[in-house]
Amino acid sequence: MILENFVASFFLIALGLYCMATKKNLIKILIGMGLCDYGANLLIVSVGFNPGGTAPIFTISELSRDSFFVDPVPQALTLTSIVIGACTTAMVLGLVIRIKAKYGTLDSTKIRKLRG
Amino acid sequence: MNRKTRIRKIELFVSLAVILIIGVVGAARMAGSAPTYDGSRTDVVGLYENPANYDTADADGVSDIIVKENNQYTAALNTVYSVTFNFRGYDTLGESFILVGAIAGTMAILRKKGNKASAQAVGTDAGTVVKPMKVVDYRGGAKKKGKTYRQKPVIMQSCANILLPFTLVYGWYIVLHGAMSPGGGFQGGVISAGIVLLVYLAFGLTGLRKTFHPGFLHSSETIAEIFYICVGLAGVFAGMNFCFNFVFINNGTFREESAMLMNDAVGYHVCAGICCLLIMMLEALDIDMGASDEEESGIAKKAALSVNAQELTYREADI
Amino acid sequence: MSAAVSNFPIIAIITFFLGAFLIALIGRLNKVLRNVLVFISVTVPLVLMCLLIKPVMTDGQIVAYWMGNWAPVSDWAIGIGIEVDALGLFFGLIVTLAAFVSALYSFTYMNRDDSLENYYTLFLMLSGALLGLTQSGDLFNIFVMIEIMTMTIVALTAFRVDYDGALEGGLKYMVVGSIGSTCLLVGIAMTYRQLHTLNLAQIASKLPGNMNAVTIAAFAFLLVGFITKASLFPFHPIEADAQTVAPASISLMISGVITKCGVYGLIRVCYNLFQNIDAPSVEILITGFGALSCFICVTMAFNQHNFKRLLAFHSISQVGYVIAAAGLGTALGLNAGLYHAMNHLLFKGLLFLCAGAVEYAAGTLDLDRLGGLSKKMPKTCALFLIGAASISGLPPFNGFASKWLIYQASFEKGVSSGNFYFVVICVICLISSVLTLASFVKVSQSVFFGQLNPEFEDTKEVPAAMRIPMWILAVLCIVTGLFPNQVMKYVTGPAANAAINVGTYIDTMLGQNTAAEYGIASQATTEIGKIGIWSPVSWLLLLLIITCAVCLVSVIEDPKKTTEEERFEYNKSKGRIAKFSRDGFKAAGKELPEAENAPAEEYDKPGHHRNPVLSGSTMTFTGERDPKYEVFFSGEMPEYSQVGGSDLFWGFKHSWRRYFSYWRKWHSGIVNDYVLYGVAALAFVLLYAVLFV
Repeated sequence: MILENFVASFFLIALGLYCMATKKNLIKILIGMGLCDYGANLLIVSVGFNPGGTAPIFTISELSRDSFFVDPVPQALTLTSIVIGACTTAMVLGLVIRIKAKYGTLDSTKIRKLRG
Repeated sequence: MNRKTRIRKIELFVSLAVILIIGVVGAARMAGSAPTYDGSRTDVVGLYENPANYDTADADGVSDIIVKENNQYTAALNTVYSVTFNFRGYDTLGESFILVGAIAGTMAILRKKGNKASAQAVGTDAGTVVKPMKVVDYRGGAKKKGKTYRQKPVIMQSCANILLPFTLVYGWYIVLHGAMSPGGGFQGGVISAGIVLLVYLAFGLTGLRKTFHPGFLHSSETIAEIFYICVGLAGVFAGMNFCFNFVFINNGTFREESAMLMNDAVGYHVCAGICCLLIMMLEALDIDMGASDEEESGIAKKAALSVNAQELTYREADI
Repeated sequence: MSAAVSNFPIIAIITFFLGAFLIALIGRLNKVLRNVLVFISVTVPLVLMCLLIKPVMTDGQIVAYWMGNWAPVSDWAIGIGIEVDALGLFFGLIVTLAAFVSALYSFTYMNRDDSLENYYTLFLMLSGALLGLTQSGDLFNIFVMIEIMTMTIVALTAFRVDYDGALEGGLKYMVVGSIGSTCLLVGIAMTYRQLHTLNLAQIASKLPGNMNAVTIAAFAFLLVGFITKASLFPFHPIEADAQTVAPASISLMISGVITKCGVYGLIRVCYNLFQNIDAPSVEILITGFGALSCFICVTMAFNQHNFKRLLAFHSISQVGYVIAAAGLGTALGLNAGLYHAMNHLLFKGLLFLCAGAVEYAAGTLDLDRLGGLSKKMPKTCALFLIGAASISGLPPFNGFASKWLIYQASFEKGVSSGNFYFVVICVICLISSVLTLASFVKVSQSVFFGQLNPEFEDTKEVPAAMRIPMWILAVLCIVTGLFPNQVMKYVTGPAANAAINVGTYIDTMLGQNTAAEYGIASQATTEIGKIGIWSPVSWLLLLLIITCAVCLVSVIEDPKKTTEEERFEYNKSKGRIAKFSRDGFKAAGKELPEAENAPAEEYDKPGHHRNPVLSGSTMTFTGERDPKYEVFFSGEMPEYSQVGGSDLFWGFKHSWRRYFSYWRKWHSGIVNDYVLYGVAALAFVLLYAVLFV
């Protein structure tokens, strides 16, 4: 179970990089950025998995004598990382709104005033 | 150009193949090696019943010790929550700063163009003509010989009226119960910030403007942040280190600690912040969805769909 | 280490953030209140950091501070620790100094923009994040601070939304920077899987005994993440774009501080965490990146027509120097790298502030239009010349001292390791230095010397409030150049030793003898040899004497030369002066009797020259023309014809035209291409690490 998670996360990252490198529409590039973030988040959460463990909350009604916890630290790191990803997306969307007004297009091959 | 694009494509595929192969091999190695921390040696029921009954001598990971020390030193049952706000509260502080940075940045980017000497150009072009964005007519409807059929957002409005209180209560339930069940400030704050979208989809931009005031939201989220910092600094003034757990009451039924104050501050901060962010973006786009005639929706304001393309701004006077 | 002093780093960090929030809350109300708040928020951290110099740098103590008093339990660090050793304090001083100077400058420079409360909020958050990054002792905390930094710098780059390319620069920075952030996250996740801790000291103690394929891949990912933030070779176009369009005070922060955070991360990862800087493969990789950036960027700077973009390429090239020196793995190399990092902030910051002053006064940064500004802005010109001399490596300024150390370190490394590669690095650095000097001769000619473009007739010198921060930087440039041995002994020496001496770092955070348990020796401090028999004061005196001699020679008047009036009369007596005929063609060679009695126009009087190019010659030309030249000048307004800097090195540019055109197309401006270069770099580093490290 854990190997599929790791492989999937690397695959997501590679897919996100492919989107960023090939797609011309700025919104699609943004989706590619999101894919990279989700892949990295999946990797962090999966790193903390202990097979057979349960959620790290001391609700006594659901625990039994032989239950044990998964790792709580990577879950906290993932929480931070998801918020970072959301704020990044928000900022880039603000930039895209303004770029559309200024350049009139969302095509990345036409938004190249700074070159050379 | 064909040769150049082909070289680029080959370069891209080779690079991605290398990354994937190394990643998958690394993943296989990671999954294959037994994790050094295997939480199976911790007796969690015993820890719950007797918080001081643990032995950290042979720990094999940071989380091992955190899980063991959680019940004695913190007043939270949710270990992830206590890692976020107690043990690593400084990281959470940094994370909430990112939200403030995103809001301040979006405010700076989406502001109404009012630069006094803003026509100074870098490079050769001196100023660009703003091309107005083509706005899609969402009203739909068919035109038949003088009769226009318009959609009335009755369904949206009724549902929004019913769902709004539930959303708020649910969101804040998750914020306040973060210590005992899965949840916390960030999760609950984002859920309760969904009310902006409900109001917008149901009542349009005019309804949104009547309900929320972005300037007030921005100020209140800043005050929540300052409160968070002050809770952290209280530890310094008490002679201990930053983010010290200076309020710690745990007598079975009543639990309170400084992490809960931080949690509530973060919940309010995220809720107000994301509301502010959404309102700024919606005002900048300025597409009025769901607006209809005055008589039918009861909004006492002239609501017209802005088919004439306008400048993309947000009203600075509102902030 | 008393408890009060150990609180200083966190109070400095929180002051920045608290100031940012207070300005977001009340900054709109009153401009003076906002400026006072900003001033307090940048001065207090600078003072606190300076107060830390004595305990940390001179006495060699290390501040170890656990957040929330979560001290390590059984040698496992469960909380977040702030650890300030000399290396962290060195970069912390760079951050606070840059924030101070930039804030002072932006009080005047930004007063033509609106929405300034957002600017100052973002600026103070940027400074706080940078300071938090350099003081932190926890890997994930460094990542969070890097994210705050990226978010704020993108917003500040796109701050002037009306500028051409500002929004585009911000977008590109965010997109390509997100590759770096993802790589950092993946590296952190893989490290955590192996070691189950996130504290830098604990990773440093556990990692050298636990290296396997996963940690090597983690090393590669972390390396690429920090290379993105430092903007080295394939990731540099975004940085060049961002520094062009950002306001000048923010360009100072990007070039001077954000790149240094990438450098700081690299030094921590290679010297402290993985401790594999002794492996030749790692040295070759890092110095290779540094030397490539150095050379390619300095040649790209020849093509530029925008003042700030040219300065931006030079900035990346100098960071290449720093990485090439720090990647050498020797104590002298690290010393040279850190010295050059500090100097880079000083002279590059000065140059960017001068560019901002030119922009503020003249309104444009186009090198083809500017010219002759030294007549109107002499003080800015003097400051620019100090900066240009520093970056080119002329004695007695600070660039010379640090570049000399870099050449010495790389050559010694080449000799001691027997590897010719490092000698090649030394030669590349030398050539880049020469090209830097050539480029700055071109820039000075383009902007400050030569003819004044008539459209800039009414530019004025910038206000004194803008010049004070520039003078602070210039004085620091001169001082650090005149006393290099003292700088090495008191400032960069302790920092380099702290980086190499991992054992003390671990012991302070986790308790005594922890390092010894893991087999890491606590090394004695290495003595760095002095710079040799070069004495800056005597070189300065020699330079002054030569300057005086040149001035004296040029001022001595040739007794045969006379004033213009006398020359006019002399030529008239010789019959060389003909009457000026406005109607050139018709009157060529013909007498125009009316012209004799025609009232003298303003421009016919002696001393007023219509064609500035021919002024001063002893021929007919004192307001009147020889009609035989009317064929060439008639009907044509005499032109402003400044020999701009673009024409100075035309021979070099022509003979290297294929190289230049290839690299100009490489910097295509499309964001997809930049992402592709980044992905290719990531793949290359991964492959190299797996195969060779």
